[in-house]
Amino acid sequence: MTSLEWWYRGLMFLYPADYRLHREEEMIATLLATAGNDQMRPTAGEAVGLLRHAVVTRTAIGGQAERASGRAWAGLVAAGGISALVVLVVGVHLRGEWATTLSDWFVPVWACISAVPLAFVALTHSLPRLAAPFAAVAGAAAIAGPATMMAQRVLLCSILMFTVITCTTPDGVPRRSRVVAVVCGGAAGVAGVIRLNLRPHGIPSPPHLAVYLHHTMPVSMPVELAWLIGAAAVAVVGVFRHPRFAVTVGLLLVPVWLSTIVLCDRLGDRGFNRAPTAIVVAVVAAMSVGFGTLRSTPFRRNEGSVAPDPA
Amino acid sequence: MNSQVVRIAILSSLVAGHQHGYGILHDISQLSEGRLTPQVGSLYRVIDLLVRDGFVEEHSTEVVDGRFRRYYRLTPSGRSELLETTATMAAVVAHTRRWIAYPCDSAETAPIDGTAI
Repeated sequence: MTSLEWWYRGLMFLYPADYRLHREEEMIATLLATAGNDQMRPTAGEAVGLLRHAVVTRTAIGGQAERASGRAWAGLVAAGGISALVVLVVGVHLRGEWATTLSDWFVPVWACISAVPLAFVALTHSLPRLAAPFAAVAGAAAIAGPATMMAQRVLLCSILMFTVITCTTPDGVPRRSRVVAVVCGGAAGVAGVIRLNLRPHGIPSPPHLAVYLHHTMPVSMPVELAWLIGAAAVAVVGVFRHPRFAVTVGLLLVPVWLSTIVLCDRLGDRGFNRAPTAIVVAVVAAMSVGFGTLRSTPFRRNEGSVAPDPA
Repeated sequence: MNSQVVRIAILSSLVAGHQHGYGILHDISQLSEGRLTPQVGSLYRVIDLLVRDGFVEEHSTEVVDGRFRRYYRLTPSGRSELLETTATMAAVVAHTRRWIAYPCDSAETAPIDGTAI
């Protein structure tokens, strides 16, 4: 084996095992045939091309038959990002003003709630029909929680999660399941918000959505930094050309940014911690990339695959 | 944009018959007059998509000089996809060339007769 072939075979390890089994020999032959006579190492362009293809293949975008393994892998990454986001948001709040008033059982309850989106995405990737039941269960869990400020956060996190998940689930999830998931999650969220406003349980009812969002999202970072990071996240998605997810992220961030600008003076002393906030934003950016690669197949391709054969 | 062109170029390469990965790359370079030289990773990414969409299928394999080759060929739906896309591209290119040559015509939508290009 030549040195160049050794390098190419090393790069092939970026690919999933089943793909290597099918394509490695063929791709190595093509790579060697295209290489220059005195070439000793893969060029930067070759390495980037293979890396990109490997990422796309691992997330099962370019796979020959929508391989389940890759799809589940991408889904778990995305869902893990969402769960980490929820746990971090909660962690920020638990260490803040609520630390002295909450009992210990809140932590395991939060852990369970944050596991819901993980299970949701993981299962809907392999069993799409479970999308609607999971949406209903998570929505019910949000409503059944105590009517406190904490419950409001659960609700809003749930709404945000449902929005993100349903807008970014792969095309493999049937349209009907997606619609039902959005309707169940949205209805549960709206019902919960109405309930909280009707029975505030001694807690003053927040005046408008910006305050809800401000209580839910960790927006204690400087306004300029929030804009910068948010714009970077959307730009990262833009690089992968995923207008749908970029729009989702942008729409979710805009009210947060606006509420930051409007309320940063009034809510500046709430005990928010900047370091966890930065981690949360990093997780959001990672999610953007994860979803970006997940969705890198234009929708048109799927429509094209069902086009009738003129023959 | 580039991967769309590569996609069409791969389909074009397979019109004449079955072809293997390196052969396809060679054809793409030839038919684009050297302007298009996709990386191997990009080539197989697009091939994967074409196979998934049913426009291209794996035809046969062989070993030449100790190296493995897999041949691909166009399916009937791949052929009609190629015809449709090239017709669209030809119309766009024809109008674009005409409008570049005669900018004042761009406000009109007169059909191309082929001689004005």
